[in-house]
Amino acid sequence: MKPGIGADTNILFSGLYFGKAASSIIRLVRFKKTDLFVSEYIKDELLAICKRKNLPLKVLSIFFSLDNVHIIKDESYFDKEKFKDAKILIHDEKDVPIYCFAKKMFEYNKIEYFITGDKDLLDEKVRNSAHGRILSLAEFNEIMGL
Amino acid sequence: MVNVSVDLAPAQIDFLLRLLKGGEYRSRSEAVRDFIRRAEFEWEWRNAIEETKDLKIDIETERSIVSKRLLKRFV
Repeated sequence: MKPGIGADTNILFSGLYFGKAASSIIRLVRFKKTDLFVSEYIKDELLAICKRKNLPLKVLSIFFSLDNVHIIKDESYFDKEKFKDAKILIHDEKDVPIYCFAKKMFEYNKIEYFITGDKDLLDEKVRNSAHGRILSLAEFNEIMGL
Repeated sequence: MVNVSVDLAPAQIDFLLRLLKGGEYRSRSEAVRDFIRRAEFEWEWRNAIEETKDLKIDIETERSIVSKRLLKRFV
C-alpha cells in the first residue's frame, strides 16, 4: 500500500470547519486520493473542541467513518521512554503524543508526510528528527501541486 | 439494508465496471454505498463551513483546554 499522510488537529479543524487552504487535504481524502492516518488522541482532541464550541458533529462522524481514514489506537504508539525523550525536544506537552504518533507512522511507512500548523512541531530540530517529513500546510500543498 | 433499484446511463455503468476492475470495491453495491457516503460527507462539510463562517476560534487555546484531560491517558 502506498504511504498515506497524517494531519494534526489544527489542520483537520481548519479544513473541516473553515475550508480555506486546509480543504486541500480534506478534498484529497474525500476523493480517495490518499489514506489519512489520525491518532485517537487527535480525533478526540478535535471532537472535544467541537463539542465545547457547539460545532456540527455529523461532518466529523462521517469523515472518520470513510474507509481511507484510519484511526490509530493510542496504545499502539505510546511508549513511556519515547514520550520522555520527546518532551526534551517538544516544548508543549500537548504536542508530544502527536509527535510520537507521527514518528511511529513514519517508522511503519504508513505515512509519507505529517502536516501540521503547530510552530513547535515545525521547529527545525523537530523536523530534522523526522527527516524533514513534518510539513506545514503551505509546503505540503506546494509539493503536491495543490 | 434496503434494496433500491436505480436507473443508470450506459456511461455510468461503464464507470462503475471500471471501478470494480480497479479492485478498489468488491461489488457494485459497495461502490455505490461508498459514493453516497462521500456525497453525504460533502453535504455535511459544506453545511459545517457555512455554519462556522462568522466564527473566530483560537484553535491553540482550545487545544490547551481540552488536552489537559486527554493527556492523562498517557500516564
